[in-house]
Amino acid sequence: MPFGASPYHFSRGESFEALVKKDRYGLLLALLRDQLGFAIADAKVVDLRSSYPKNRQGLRLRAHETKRLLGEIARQDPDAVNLIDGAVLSTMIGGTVAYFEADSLSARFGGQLYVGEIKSFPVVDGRGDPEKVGSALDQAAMYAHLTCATVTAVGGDPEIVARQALLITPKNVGLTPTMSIVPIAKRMARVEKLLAAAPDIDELVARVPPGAGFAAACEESGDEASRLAAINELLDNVGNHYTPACLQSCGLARICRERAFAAGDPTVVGPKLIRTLPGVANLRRAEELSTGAPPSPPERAAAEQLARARRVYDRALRTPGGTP
Amino acid sequence: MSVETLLAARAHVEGRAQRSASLRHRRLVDDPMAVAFWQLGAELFSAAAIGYGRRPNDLTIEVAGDPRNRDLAFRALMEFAGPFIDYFEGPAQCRETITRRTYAYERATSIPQLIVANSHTVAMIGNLGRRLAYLSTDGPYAADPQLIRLGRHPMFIARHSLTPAQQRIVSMSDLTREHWVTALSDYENASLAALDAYVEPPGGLHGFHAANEAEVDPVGPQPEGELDAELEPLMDAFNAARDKRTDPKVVLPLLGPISAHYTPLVERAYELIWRCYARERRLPEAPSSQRRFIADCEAYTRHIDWTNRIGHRRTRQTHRQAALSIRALEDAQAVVWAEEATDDPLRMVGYLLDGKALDGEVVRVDENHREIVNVKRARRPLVTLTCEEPCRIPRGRILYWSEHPRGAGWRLEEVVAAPGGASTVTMKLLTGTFDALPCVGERACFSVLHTDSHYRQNLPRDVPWTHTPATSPPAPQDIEERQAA
Repeated sequence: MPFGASPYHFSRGESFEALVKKDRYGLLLALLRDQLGFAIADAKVVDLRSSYPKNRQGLRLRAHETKRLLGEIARQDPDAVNLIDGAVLSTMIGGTVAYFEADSLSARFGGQLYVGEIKSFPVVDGRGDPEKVGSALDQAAMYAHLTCATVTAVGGDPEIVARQALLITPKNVGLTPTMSIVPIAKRMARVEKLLAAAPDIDELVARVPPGAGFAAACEESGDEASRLAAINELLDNVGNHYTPACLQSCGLARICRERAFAAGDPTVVGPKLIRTLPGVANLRRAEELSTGAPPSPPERAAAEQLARARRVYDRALRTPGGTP
Repeated sequence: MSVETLLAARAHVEGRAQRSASLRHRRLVDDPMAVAFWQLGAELFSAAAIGYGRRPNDLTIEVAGDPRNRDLAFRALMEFAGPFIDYFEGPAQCRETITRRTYAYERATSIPQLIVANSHTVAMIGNLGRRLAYLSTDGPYAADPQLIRLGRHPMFIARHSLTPAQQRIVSMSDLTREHWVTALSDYENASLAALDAYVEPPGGLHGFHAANEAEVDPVGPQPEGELDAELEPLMDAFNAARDKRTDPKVVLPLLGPISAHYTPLVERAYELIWRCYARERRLPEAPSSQRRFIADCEAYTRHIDWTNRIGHRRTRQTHRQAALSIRALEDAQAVVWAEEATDDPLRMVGYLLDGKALDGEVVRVDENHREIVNVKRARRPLVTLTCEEPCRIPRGRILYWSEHPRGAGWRLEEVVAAPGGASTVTMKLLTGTFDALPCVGERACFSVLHTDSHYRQNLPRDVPWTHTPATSPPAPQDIEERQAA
């Protein structure tokens, strides 16, 4: 189970991005000309990534500048840029301003505005890794949705934002860039719903018990046992929501998994098992019910099924050829 | 309720995995080749380290150095190519002639079998094959023909791996998961080390804790971030020392530190593969594996003959081919499910619980029962069973006797509920000619599963204009970068 990104992932990503943007975005503009009909004159590029400090203040300034540039594009200003590298889009999530950094936004003069996502995974025979393609398109859909919102905010028509993303990836084994134009309308609709459903941060914070925090657990001078105890105390007070998917991305997942195991929580196996055990508190109880322990009213439906499963399985074991 | 829920709960309480099969549903040949790969993060089409061997104590390791460099990557693969091709093409020499009415053809009597850690390794083998199989043999970057031959076999293996229950390449984590149920998530079960530890936890440990300890050491081919971080300074030093040279005389003496990095990783994966192979091999083989083995032999023979004559295969199917392939794979999967369940009582449990099968003790057999069929009286034997469970299958449903899953159907004629949730079921055979019937006093199982061939889908040769794509799938081509690496 690989955990954490390899440094070679980063170096490949950086090399590819540098290649795409070298010679004043020559390769990227060539792809735009070939596949989207950009004119030779449609080559005005602004690099917001390297023009501002790399901190929250920089993000705020870049978001402001992105908004101004998008306003020019929406008004079809003759001086409007054609490519914004490192556009920053902002939105309110759960009552807090969040900033998103898009790889590129590009627009042909008088044409549509496209979100571009640069990824270093290879596309061979016209196919990329479906999981990676999916997550890149989800990312692009988020930027496209926010671009629509920004264009609307500056008085433009959100329909100028294309419902297609430009996925720029290496073709074959090398790093030669290629561009795929992929529909993202459904993903944009999903992003809109997700953002609208985000819980309010202030409400969440208000529910945290006073004094709870990661300070004791993060104390590097503390010994392992006391730091673990601090984490467990925090989880006892605040609660957690472990799922096996946490193992792929969260450094604390193994602690939560150990707690779930100790409690016999069906979530250690996954959501499919939880659905088959309605009303049953833990796996040990499920085993008891399968052996005929009297069920409580909420357990009755699952208990009947568990007992039947056990009878049938044990009978199969007694069948000639059934014992492993 | 699935049987997996019961077994997962039992695994959690007992602290070790539970068997979901009483037989081994794949043939594991006497002389497989175990292969373990490691790749560099993000480099999906090249191998950083290759470990292979035909015995548990006979491991050979090849290390590329820096697999991002084409020459270095190909050098390591060339070392692997010789033993691999010898092993893979060997069984094709021994053939038998099969006669089908007026048609006769040759078929290899056995297959080469690769055993690997997981499905990621299968995918990586496919990637390597895709890279090598179409290499150019002329021009400044002409590749060794041996490398191209090496590529064509893995491409076939990866493509054939989609065939349900094929036995040419066996992923040990998939095989183990097919035979055991743990109280781990799918994500954790994907780790062969964790799965193996849960199946056989050492020293009285609970399977969960054994898996926790084992999963820390990955088995490849994808590296963890930390592993590549440890490798990075070694690789930098190697590249600095070789100073862009790729001559083996220069490179080989410099590989020591990188080999030392990969050797324990490859050894661990290799040992795990053989350990799981030995454990699963101890179980008796399911009878239906023989049919699939013959299908594998035929596919293998066709592949070798094709490789010797032409060798090129499509990398993308047309719409028509894709539709036919999906249909063929789905049919093959349905047959495999049926074969596994009718071979193995534990595999049938899921169908019994889902109301797709019934079993019980045979209490009456009326072999000479006759009734009017169309216009004349015909024999239609009746079999009555006493089932311990209530029968949830509606009357009139056609089922198949699991002892004869290719035979004629049986209609569920009558169901009578008995006290205590039991039921008495009468089945009627829908033909008057038969080889055998269930015997009184024995147990019999009837299910929706049958292994007879399914309806074969035919599509028009000319694709209608409504289904014609704007552009045809790309023709297979060399995917190498055309500049020096």
